[in-house]
Amino acid sequence: MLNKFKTLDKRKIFTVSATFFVAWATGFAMQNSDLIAEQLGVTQVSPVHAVELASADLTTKNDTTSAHQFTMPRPPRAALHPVSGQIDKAAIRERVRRSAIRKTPAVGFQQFSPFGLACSATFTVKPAPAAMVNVTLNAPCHGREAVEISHNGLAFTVRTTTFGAASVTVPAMAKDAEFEVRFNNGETLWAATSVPEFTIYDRVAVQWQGKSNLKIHALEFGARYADAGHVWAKAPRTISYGVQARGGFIVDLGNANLPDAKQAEVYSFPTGSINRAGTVRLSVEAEVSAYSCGHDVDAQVLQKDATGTIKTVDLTLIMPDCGAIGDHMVLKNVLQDLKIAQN
Amino acid sequence: MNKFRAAVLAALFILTTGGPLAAQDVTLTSRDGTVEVAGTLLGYDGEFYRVDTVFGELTLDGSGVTCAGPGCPDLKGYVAEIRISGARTMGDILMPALVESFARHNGMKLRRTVQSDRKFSYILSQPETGRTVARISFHNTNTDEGFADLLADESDMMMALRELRPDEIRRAREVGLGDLSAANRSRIIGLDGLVPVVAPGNTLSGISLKALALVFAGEVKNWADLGGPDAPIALHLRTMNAGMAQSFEDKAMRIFGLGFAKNVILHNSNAELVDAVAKDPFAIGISSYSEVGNTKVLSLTGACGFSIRPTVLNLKTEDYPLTAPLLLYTPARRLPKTARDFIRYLRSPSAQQVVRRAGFVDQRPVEISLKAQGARLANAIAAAGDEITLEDLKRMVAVLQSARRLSITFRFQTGSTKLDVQSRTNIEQLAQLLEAGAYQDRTLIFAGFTDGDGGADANMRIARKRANAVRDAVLKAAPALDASRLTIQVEAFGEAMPMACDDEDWGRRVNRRVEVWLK
Repeated sequence: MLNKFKTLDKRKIFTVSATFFVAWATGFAMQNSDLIAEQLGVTQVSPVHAVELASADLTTKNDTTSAHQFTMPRPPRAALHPVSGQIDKAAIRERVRRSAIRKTPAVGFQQFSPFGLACSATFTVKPAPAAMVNVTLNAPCHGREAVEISHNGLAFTVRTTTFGAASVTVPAMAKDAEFEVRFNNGETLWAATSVPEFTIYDRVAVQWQGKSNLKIHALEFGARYADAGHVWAKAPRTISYGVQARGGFIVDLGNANLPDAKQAEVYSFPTGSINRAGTVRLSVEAEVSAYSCGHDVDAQVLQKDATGTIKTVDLTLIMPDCGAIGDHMVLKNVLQDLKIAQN
Repeated sequence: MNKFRAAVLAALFILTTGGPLAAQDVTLTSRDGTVEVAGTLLGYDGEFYRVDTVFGELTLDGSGVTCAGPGCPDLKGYVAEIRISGARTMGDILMPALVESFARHNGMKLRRTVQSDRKFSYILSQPETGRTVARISFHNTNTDEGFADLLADESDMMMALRELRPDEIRRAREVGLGDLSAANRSRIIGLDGLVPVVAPGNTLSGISLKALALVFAGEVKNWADLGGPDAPIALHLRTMNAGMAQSFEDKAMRIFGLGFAKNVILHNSNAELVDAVAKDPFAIGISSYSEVGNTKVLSLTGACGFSIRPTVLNLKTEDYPLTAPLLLYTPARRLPKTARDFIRYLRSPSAQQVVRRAGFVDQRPVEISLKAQGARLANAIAAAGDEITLEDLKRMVAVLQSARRLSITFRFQTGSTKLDVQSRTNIEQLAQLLEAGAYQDRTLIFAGFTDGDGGADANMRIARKRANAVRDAVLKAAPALDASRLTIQVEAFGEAMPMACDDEDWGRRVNRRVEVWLK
């Protein structure tokens, strides 16, 4: 029987089984849309397993059994552009209903990594202290690959291990935090979680691609450069500062060693819990290097707008010419200073 | 008669200074082909052509003509160029935030191109096509340099922290910018205040305006004279070309006939100023309400016991005397459509939200209950005596008890019966609110107050006269108002409820006012 399968056109089988799967999955999704929405709203995306056919007859359906492992359909790409803030739960349900099929091989044609592990990938997100999110990727068939993780406007490039694993702790940029990982072959995985603690924090970010290495400098409550209250990449503090409501901290995202990598730097301040009033002066610095001198450097800054949601502004920095290598362009007004009122 | 012909005929009546007849680089033809005008293109703002022709300078509606010739602008590629220059108090954070919010509001993509904090521009483009719609450039300096840019035709909008002076108005008119003192040449974007600041550890919590002036004149040199330690006072101010410093000079120094001391430390920005003051326990400075950094703000006190802090409400009502409206001036020439849309956007609730978030005071009127004004009543009772009797106070309380004070208040220019700049805007604002039906079915009370100078009866009459004048001005500015659904009352309370001490000019000016109450 199996021999017969092998001689058939692989694509034809895949199409047929995929069609069967879509029909079945759609029915399942419609019946269980609440369950799915709940699952999406909490943490995990279920591991993707191939659907096992109980019988060789591809046209008969045996959908009374519920022993089949259901896999989360991937939402359409168009819906995954970085959103700034609000999640519409009804829209999520709708996306799930209308989602496209992942291009994983199905029945009987399980693919395996060079190390013999099944290709099925997982992408999980879990809230962590200081309104951060632990993002864990396991994609055995995407070992040593530069993948792009995006989250509510942030985007950064990381490299998976030989076994296709990556794990990052990302500052949440919205209470309803959405995450996407994109592989080189264009496939994406999506996950979301809720981070209620986000409302306590003020967050600003600067991001770029390549070697521009922009930096945020925060001078908290009248600190001068190199004082204890000067927070920046070389003195980033730790998240415990935020957790203990003592002050802000900086997190760097993205692997600078990867070619043309997307990187981001995020400064967080526990505005809602700190027991102190005053001003935190924020500035962005760009070094005039051999790489950037005489060029226009593209970047983005992310900060709350007047409505309280974090918005992205595209920047182009017109760097001084190469006679000024070693200097820094210091911009004090692309990020608005934080005014902390007494709590 | 179509627009084109009308424009041509109208232009024939216009006298021109007769510019040189340069090469004819554009020929504009009406759409029906019947009228043709040739000349040199002087400008195109996206809608209208300005052409120098044998008939003189003509302005023609672009939608009514086609253009031929080497000088014709690229219609599809037209990019509105808007140059904004002046006070960095406005240009550093507020105006850029307004541009960003305006772009988002209109579904336009935005990119900020930065050379430095002082020079940057925003490119606004259509998201679908990527076509650039406008370039809004900023040149952040100070009020004086902003005015120089306007005069030199290097900017289209000027950010100012003070009103333009008569000689500046004259110079602007001379170079063809029109009458900048006209109502439509300027608009208030938000409200700011001049606040005295000291280091957080300084024990001083309030200072009288006169003492503040004496300190900055160098006539009070030591903290010991203010009840503090024996140490010299370090003075901090913005540079003299900044509207902040000039406004403080007008409102605090000149009224006492004083000038600044020679040893004042000058700063190029409010942030720099407050950061310096915060570090020095013997420093005092004057900064913007929106930028106090880590300093402590002093209240303004009076000999008669009043004390007033700069707060949102006190700035909206101008009860705090050192207000500084944020002004945007535009010359008398047609601005591109994007610029006109932006100016219109500035009055929207969305723009007011941006003003608040930037740390300034927005102009949305708020209602304040009598309960929240207990201090005023207490002072009124304390100040009562021979001139103001208990009967007067009882009458006032009876009228105002069930009413709420609107933050819109009218005050007058120093030594004059003319309304000050914030109050002139208030007339329009109140008129527009009334026309929009804001206070329908309610009673609007214009309540006149005066200072304590002169007899109580005379002051009652003056108060009533002022309240009537404001009421008349508001109704005149609201021709579309259906007055049948609104009850308007005029009351005069004269000296009854002083807001500040009468012993000094500035206090008397604060007291001379017309308030608006709503039932």
